[in-house]
This record gives sequence, structure tokens and C-alpha cells, in this order.
Amino acid sequence: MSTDDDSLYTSPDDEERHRRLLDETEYDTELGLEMARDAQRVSAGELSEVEFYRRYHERIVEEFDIDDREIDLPDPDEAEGSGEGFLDDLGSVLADVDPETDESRRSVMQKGAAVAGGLAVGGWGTVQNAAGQDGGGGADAPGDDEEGTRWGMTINLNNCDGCLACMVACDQEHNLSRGAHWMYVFAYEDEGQADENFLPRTCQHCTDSPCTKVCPVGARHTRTEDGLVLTDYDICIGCRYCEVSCPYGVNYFQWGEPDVPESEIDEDTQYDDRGRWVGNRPPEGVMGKCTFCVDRQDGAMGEDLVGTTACEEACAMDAIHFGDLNDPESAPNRHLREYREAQPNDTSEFPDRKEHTVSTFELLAERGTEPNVTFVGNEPSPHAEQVEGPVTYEEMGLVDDRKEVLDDGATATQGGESA
Amino acid sequence: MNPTVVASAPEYALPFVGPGTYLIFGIVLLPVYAMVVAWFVGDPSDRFAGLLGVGYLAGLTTVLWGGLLLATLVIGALFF
Amino acid sequence: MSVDVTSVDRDTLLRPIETLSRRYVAALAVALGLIGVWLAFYVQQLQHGLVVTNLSDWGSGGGVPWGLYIGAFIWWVGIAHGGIILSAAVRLLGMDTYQPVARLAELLTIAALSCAGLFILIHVGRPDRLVTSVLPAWPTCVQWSPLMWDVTVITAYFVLTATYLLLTIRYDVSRLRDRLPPRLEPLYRALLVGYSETEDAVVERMVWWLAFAIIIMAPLLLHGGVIPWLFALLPSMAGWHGGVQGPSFLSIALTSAVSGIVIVSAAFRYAYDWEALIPDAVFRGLGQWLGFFGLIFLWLQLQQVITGIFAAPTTLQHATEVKISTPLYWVAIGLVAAAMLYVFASSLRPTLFSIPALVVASVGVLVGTLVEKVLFVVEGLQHAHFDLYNGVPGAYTPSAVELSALAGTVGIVALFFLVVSKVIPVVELHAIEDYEEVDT
Repeated sequence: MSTDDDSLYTSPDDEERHRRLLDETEYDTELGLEMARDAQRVSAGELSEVEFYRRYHERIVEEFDIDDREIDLPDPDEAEGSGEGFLDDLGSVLADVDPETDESRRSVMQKGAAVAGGLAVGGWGTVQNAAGQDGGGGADAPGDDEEGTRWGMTINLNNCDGCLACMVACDQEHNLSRGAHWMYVFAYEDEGQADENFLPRTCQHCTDSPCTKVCPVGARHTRTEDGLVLTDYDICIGCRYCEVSCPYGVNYFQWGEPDVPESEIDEDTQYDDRGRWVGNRPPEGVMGKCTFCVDRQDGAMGEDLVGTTACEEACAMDAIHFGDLNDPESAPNRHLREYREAQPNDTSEFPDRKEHTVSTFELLAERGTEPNVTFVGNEPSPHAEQVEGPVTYEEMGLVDDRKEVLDDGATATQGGESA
Repeated sequence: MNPTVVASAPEYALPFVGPGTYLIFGIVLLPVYAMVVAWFVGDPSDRFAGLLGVGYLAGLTTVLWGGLLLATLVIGALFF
Repeated sequence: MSVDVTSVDRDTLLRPIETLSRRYVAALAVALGLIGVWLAFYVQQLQHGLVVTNLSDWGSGGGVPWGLYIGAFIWWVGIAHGGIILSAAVRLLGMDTYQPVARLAELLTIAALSCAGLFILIHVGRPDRLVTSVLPAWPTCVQWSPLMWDVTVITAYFVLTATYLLLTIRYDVSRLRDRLPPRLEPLYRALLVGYSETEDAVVERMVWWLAFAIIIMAPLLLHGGVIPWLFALLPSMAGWHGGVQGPSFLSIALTSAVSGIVIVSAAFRYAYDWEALIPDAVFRGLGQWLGFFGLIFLWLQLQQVITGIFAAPTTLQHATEVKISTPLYWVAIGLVAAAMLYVFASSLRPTLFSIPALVVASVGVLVGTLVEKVLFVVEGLQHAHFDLYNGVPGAYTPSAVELSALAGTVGIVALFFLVVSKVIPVVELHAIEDYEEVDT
């Protein structure tokens, strides 16, 4: 991505593909491509909106008889979290050309879509660079200030190979019952993305977490000292409102007797430094979910393991990076920085450009939860579909669909069934 | 990471003000306040009847939650 | 359209207390049997945990963590709105026609709210903590948790309705005391504490204010407020979010509540030959209410379907498409529509009207509203914004344990009416006699 013309596309194939798409419409292909390039310059701050408008006004009128572009495009950097807002705007710039005739509208929409596709590959990360690194946060949320600890993760999807080692490590360390996966790895196929993609899903430990808001008894809470979202197993009444309110599906209720009995669990891993029972697997009738290994963070497993998680430790691909987001030298911040430095943008010729071309996102950022997990890579689109990965859950001895385990429990009439 | 935490740190880090506070006490219970005031003010009203009404409100609330407490204690003793 | 039932004598009014029929015993046995079946299943659930239900984790588990229990909870709270509809009609609007069934409706409110509360108890994983966790947390959680708002408002609704009943019953008990069962005398003495006939006018004014408080709180803020907000405020599920849930929930509540009153009133009329005490006009009027509320119910469903499929965001569109392609949804809509059409048809052609037919229509409405509520909860959970999970949507069919709870709560309501009707007059004395200062 060293020159202006290249910047829109990661490969010549992409440009060729978009050119073909544009060629299929009845309108000017070159105009579409040029506008797309300059639109990216607008997003990088190299080109003013007014200039963008002026540069194309005459040719748009010539081509479409009307120029309905909004002159006051919002600053793409302010478009919340993802590039979508900007892409939508670009889409409407191109789409609203002639609202009267459906035919021309659809043609122009095709151009818009082609251009947007290009931007999604080449420009998305640039547009939303900063959103990922400091995680945002509401003003009154605990741990949001830059002092103290705020545990979080950077998960690099480009590194993940779907080996499921993290799932196994998490299940074992926390003595989870079969089918409960505090760490869950998706393998999925998506439009516009070649091959299989992987998405390791922990609890996002949201700064503005719906689950803590809705909990009627304060069992689900955010630990003030470090922003961990935890469940007090002594208080939880098991109403499952947290599970219903969570957009990510990270909660796993203890429907029956746990697989691992209480006697086999080290008490040090259960009680955190406030003396509250928030660690390890939940007892029957209450809710469990990823704790970011709260026992490790509190030093219950030795000082060496503070600032690490079981999944991170098990990951041989350098995909999971856990640490204090308030510490610039922590693993998640360092990884993001180094990864970005390895993929620089051309700032010599265009000084206003972002310094790197790395795309990051927070899962479902538009839900307003302010997650403390940042992903490197492309966010799965609404059309993404989970598929069987190179390593299946069965091969790793894991039960994917917990319903299978629970159904066994439901039909058992004697005690001792577990789930 | 500093594991020393002030024991008295606010557990949930939220003061007693939120949408629910206004909702319940400012709006939902407003008709109840009006009702209780009207029981004692206006004509015809009677102090004994008004107090009886308030007694019913308080007593029923206590009986409701007290009964539930008993039920949960029994369940707890037998099954948990 | 006030109907004069003042010719009915006190013997008729006291018939449930002064008689004991074989049919009564049979009904008692059935009610106790239903409760027994549920208890047997519930003990299983307490012993083994919620694993005995068909609920499961949303997400990789592909199940629904909320199901029939929550659907039935909403349904019972909805039926509980019958009391306020009737006491509002009688006390606030002066519609004396409905006086004969007003107390039945209030009793239905108390029974239905108890069942709703019971479903919360059954639903949670740790029922033993329901008080010990909830009460200490109340001051710190009520400002956020919609579930805590619910607990608060339902408590208030229950307490206000029971207060209403306790205040109004004093008039009747004081005048009928000599004909009430002597062995319950201590109970009547407690009910009448401090009673003097001069308080009647005062109490009449007090209960007007009670009705006033309840009518603002219960319909507008319970089923039109905190109950739908349990769902409408969440960021997670596409089919739940939005402003229409309040009105929609309320319309369903009122429709089911009128149905509940029709069934209870018809049962008493049939069992105690109360044709004169609860005349046809009461049922014709209730039928028209049923039709009107049913119309609003259907209209609000239409609003949701249209906004959900025309040009909706993809996740909402998907959720709506699934909803309207679910046959069971159309069964629910069809049952309510059929009741509405029957009622309107019998208004145009009075010969079509019959109380058994109205009862059948009401049972249909209760089934329809229950189905709609359960589908709302379950399908809402199956079609979230985040739809990457392969397991979602999984299948959910209520287990025998869950279904038994439904039967058990119906048994509890029946038992409640059977017992209460032996203890206090379930029709107010006001219905058959004008207010009087002095007894016979």
C-alpha cells in the first residue's frame, strides 16, 4: 500500500474484480473507481469533503443528471467503532443519485457495493484505527480511567488456526461441565473472505455490560479494581437474566450437578482477593462464564501467572494476548503495536494517513457494550456461517452442543446425572 | 497488578440513582402516594380507617415476603 | 345498560357457603390432583436441578435459557389485570352492571399474581435464595435491573389489590356474619377489627382511591411497562427490542384478563344457578370488551409484523420472518381472531350469543395468549443479533416438568376459588342491595 492508486486494493485481482462489477453497470467505470479512491482520501483526512464534492460534481451531473451527495459527510473517524457508518455514507452518496428511477438507482448501488467491497478490504482498518486500542468506555464505568488495572485482550484472528487448544485448556482449568465453553472457537466461512476464518470468543468483559445492569441481585458485577465482570456464586439466584441480556452468548448455566465435584476443586482458585466466590466452575443452579482467570490475576496460582490466562498459555499461534489495557507495555497493547508497525501505511507522501493498515474490531460494538476484547482481523459479516473447523470439537473431546448433554440429564431419573 | 484492595470499596460502583430509581419512586409509586395522602385528607376521611389501610399495606407486604422467606428456607433446608 | 339484580335474595348470594355438593368435592379433588402432579415433578426439579427441563444455554448450546416458565409468568400477570378492569369499571366509571363479578375478578387477580410469583420461584436455579439474595440487594439493584422493577411493581399490585379486598369485605362480613360458618368466627373477628357502620362511606372513598392508584400502576406500568421492559430494553435479541412491546403486552394482558373473568363467572353461575345474580347482560358486556381488546391485540401484532418485514434491519427481519412462518403463531392469532369475530357477530345478531360459546371463545383466547407469550420469549431468544452460532436456533419443546407447572398453577387458581367461596361471599352485597346504614 505504497501508492495512492494501490491503496484501495490489496491485490490487482481485487481491482480487476471491482472493475468488472462496475463495467456491468451502465455508468462510467472510471468515475466509480476514482471516486472510491478519493473517498478513501477523505477518510484519511487527505482530502476535504468540500474538495471531494467539487471535484466530482460536474461529472456526476453529467453522468446521472443530478448530484444528491450530502456535502456534510460526517467525519469518518467519529463514525462509531466500525467503518460501516462511513461505508453507508459512501453508499448513499452513490445510491441517491436518482431516487426517481429504480433502474439507475440499482445500477449505482452496484457501483457503491463494489467500491464498498474494496474499501472494506483496504481501508476499513484505517478508518477505525483508534477505536480498538483504548477500548472506549463510559465516564462512570469502573476501571475506565487510565489509572489502575483494566484487564483485557487482543485476539489476533490472523494468527488463529482453529486448533481448539485454548478451549480444552479453559475447560480443564476451570473444571467446566461438558458442553460449557467459557472459551469457544468459531470456525466460519464468510463472503469476500477466502478460506476458513476463526473467532475465539471469551467473555468480552464489557465496560458497559448489559448483564451487570440487569442482574436483580448484584451477583453479576464489575470488579472495581480491575474491571473484571464476575459472578458471585454465593449470591446468584440463577434467574438467567444475564444470559438473556448478553449479545454474545458467553454465559453457561449450571443446569445440573457439576461434572467435577466440589471436593476436587482448590479453594484458592474459587475465592478472589475480596473473599468472594467468583472463580472456577459454578455450583449447581447458578451462572458461570469466562472470568479472565480471576484466580490467576489474584495470584492464587503463583505470581508468575498474574497477567496470564489459561487460553493464552495454551495458544501456540500467538493469537491470544491478555494483560492490563492501561499498561502500554502489556501483552495486548504491545502485540497490537508491533503488529501495526509491521504493516505500515504510506505516510511519507500522505502524512495524514494512519500509520498502519491493520484492521481491528470489537465484537458487536454497535450494541454499545464497550467490550474489553479487541480483535485483529475482519469482523464476521451478517452472512458468516459457522462451519466445521480443521480440528473438530469431537476430536478434542469436547461437546459442541450442550443440549446433547442436558437431554441426557433430563431423561435420567436417578441422581448423578450431570450437566 | 496490585492485589491489595480496600475492603470497603463500593461493591457495584454505582450510587443509588439510576433509571429505575426515578421510574419506581418517581412515577410508578406516585399514585400510591396520592392514595395514601387522600386517605387522611379530604372528606369523608377517618384516621382509624386510614391507619387500617396503611396497616394492611405494610402487613400484607410483610406477610407476602415473610411467607416467601419461610418457603425458601424450607426449600433450602430440604434440597440445598 | 345497568341491570337490576336487587330482587335476588341473600340466600342466593350465600349459596356457595351454605351448600356442599358432590360436584364441589369432585372439583376439589381435580384441583388437588393437578397440584399434586406438579409437586411431584417439582420435587424432581429441586433434586436434580433445572436439567430436568428442556431449557438450555443460548449460544453454543443452541437452547433457550428462558422458556415456558417465563411465558407462563407473563401470562398469569396478564390475567391478573382482570381485577383492575372490573374494579375500575365499577368504582371509577360507575358501571354497576359488572358489580356482581367485580369481587370474582379481584380474587382472580390475587390468585393469578400468586401463580406468577410461583413461576419466578420455579424458574430460578436457586429458589432458596429468592429472599435472602433479593432483599439485601434491592437498594443497590432496583435502580438498574428491570427484573427488580418487576418484583417491586408486582408486590405493590398484589398488596394494593389485597388491601382493596380486605377493606371492601368488611361491609359484607359485618352484615352477613350470623349466616357465615361459626367455626371461622376468629377469622371474621380479625377481618372486622375496629369496624363500625360509620366507616362505610370512608372506606368507599378509600377504595375509590385504591382503584385509582391501581389503574394507573397496573395496566400502564405493570403490563404496559415493567413486564415488557424485561425484554424491550435489551440489546441482545432482535425480536424483543422496541417501543411497541408495552402497548402490545398490555393488549394481550387485557384480552386474557377478560377471558379469565368470563370463565370464572360462568363457572360460578353454572355451579350455583346464579342466572339471576350474574345475568346475561354481564356476559354480553364482557364479550364486547373481549372483542375490543382482541381487536387491539391483533392490530398491534399487525404493527409488529409489518415493521418487521417491510424494510427492517436484517436481524429483525429474520426474526419476524421466522415468527410469521411458525404455524403455532397463527394458531394463537387465529384463536384470538375467532373469539373477536364471534363476539362481534353476536353483537350484530343477538341470537348467536350463548354463554357456553363465549366460554369456549375465552378458553381459546387464553390458549392463544399463552402460546403467543411463550413464542415471544422462545423465538426471541432463538434469533439474536449475533447469529454466528451454528446451534442457534435449536429446538425447544417444554418438558413434562415444565408443563406440569402450568397444570399445577391452574389447579392452584381453582383451589383458591373453591376455598375462598366457602369462606367469604364472592359477590358483593352491594350487587343485590342498595347501600344501607342499618342491617335487617
